Amino acid sequence: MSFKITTDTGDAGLTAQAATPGYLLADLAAGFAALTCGGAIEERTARNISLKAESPESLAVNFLNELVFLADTEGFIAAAASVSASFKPGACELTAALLGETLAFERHQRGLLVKAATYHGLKIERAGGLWRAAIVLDI
Amino acid sequence: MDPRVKRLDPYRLEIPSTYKPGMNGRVIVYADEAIARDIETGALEQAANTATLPGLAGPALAMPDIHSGYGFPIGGVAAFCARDGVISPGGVGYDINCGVRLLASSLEAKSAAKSLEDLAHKLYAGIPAGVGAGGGLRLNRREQDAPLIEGAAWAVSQGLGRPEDLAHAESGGALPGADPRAISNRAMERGRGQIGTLGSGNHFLEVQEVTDIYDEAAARAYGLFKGQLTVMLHTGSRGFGHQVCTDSIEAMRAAAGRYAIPLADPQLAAAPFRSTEGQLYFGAMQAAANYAWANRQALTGLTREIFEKSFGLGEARLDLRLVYDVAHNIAKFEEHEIDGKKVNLIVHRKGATRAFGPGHPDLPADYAAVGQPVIIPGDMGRASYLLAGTARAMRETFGSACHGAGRLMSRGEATRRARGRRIADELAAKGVWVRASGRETLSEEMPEAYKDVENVVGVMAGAGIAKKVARFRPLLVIKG
Repeated sequence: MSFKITTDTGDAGLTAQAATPGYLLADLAAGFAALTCGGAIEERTARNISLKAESPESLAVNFLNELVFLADTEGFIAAAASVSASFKPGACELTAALLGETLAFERHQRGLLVKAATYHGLKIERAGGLWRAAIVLDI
Repeated sequence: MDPRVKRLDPYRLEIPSTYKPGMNGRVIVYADEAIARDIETGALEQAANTATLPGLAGPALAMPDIHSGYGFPIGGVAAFCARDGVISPGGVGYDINCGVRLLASSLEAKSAAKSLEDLAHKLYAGIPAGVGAGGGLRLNRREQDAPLIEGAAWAVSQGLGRPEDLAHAESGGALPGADPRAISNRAMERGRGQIGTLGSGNHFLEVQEVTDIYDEAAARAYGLFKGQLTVMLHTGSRGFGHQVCTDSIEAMRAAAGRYAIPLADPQLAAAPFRSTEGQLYFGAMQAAANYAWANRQALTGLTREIFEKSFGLGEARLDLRLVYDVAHNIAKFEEHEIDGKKVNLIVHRKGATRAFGPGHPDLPADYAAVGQPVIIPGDMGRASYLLAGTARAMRETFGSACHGAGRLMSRGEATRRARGRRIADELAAKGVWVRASGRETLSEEMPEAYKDVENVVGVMAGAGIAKKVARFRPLLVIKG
């Protein structure tokens, strides 16, 4: 798992790098959990996500916005994400199997309330054999 | 500062329309020398980018609390011709109709001092705030349209306010063009249980004392006196507004391509105001604005209830009146005069407050002579202000002013600087009781993370855009 939380703006962000698009998106999901509640989540229930987008950038934004939606409506945070993804230009897609649980503050930290993933300063690129992502989240 | 940015006078800078290719007008930045030193280059670039959008009317504007946002800067104002200009969700922001309201009690702060600790505990327990707070009003899908159409009036109809509150909210606490059919199911789902919740980040409920009165006539009109106990409340449309913005950015990115609108930044995604996409967003945005007004009104009802219990006083004796409620993330259809001609504009205020001058027909009768109250929260350790809109603002800024102190430090830098310190204890030593539910909130929101609101307000007053009416100091602060 390889992600970093960035806080160099009034909001927060995530950077990640991984060998495949699927691992990259799974790392972003782990970063989202760390931001929201410190990441100490157990694998109790499952959720599935399928998405298509024109670009890797839109796919990443839409994926994180799905995580925001699950957190905001159900309090669901993923402990682990198994993501299969393709960054084929014009036809990007993913299927994600999420395992996690509903936030319970007697067991979880109160972290940041992430409200949206944005296109601000968004980068998805392949360099040195790795996929790298940088994304800013509105909090 | 880039040498192409020219100082016009002690309070104004100009970014010329030649600053970058594609600009349709200049940008006026309200900043004195001290404020200008703290403005990030990225924020000025963003202000210049807003001037590249089609149909810009007059100059784009940047207020002294400007800092980098997504697409448009925060502290930005841009007006576009309703006939052939654009509307942009990036010019409104994610938290649609994030705003502030000010309530004034009949009590003097010194007489309430003994009850403040009890009040603090009751407010912290009774005002839902922070991550996973719950506690909001849960509406089923059939009930959800009413607040989207009626705004603050809906909350009043639920017993969470007084009918006279509505006259003291910008636009009466509801925009007439809200279209619930333009709202996605996802936004409806996110908004279902969040009316009556404060949220997190920089949102707050603050009990304050009026420390200074600068304009006796305006203060009298607004019902304020020195030493008075007041309440300031800052929140918006919660997850509902964010989902409306998220949905519309995707749609507008596609629309911008269809209408060949050049985008200097993907978050500037826009569509012609008169287009199907533009009208769909405008209808959805107005529904989200009304949701925010319903939210602030519901929190007002809760706050009054808690005050009455805590002080053991009835509603009439406590008289926690709404002074005013302002939106500071919104796009509004307004008529303004440009070069002697009246024109219909879509005025985008993102981190900027409407500041209509005396005599404007949209003001309530009791404030018509003194101008619109402009509520400027500072930070949780220093001060906040109430200003009044001026005739000059109508001529120069589409009746707009700043919205707050503006962030000076990133969250990371604030957290680093707060390491090893006890922010709550430091504030308590200054007489401010503060409580936050988030683990890092107090560090990220510590006073030094913000510009000094005195300087920001000083620029607005010096430039003649808004005049100072009253200053408030925080006594207790609840944050998410």
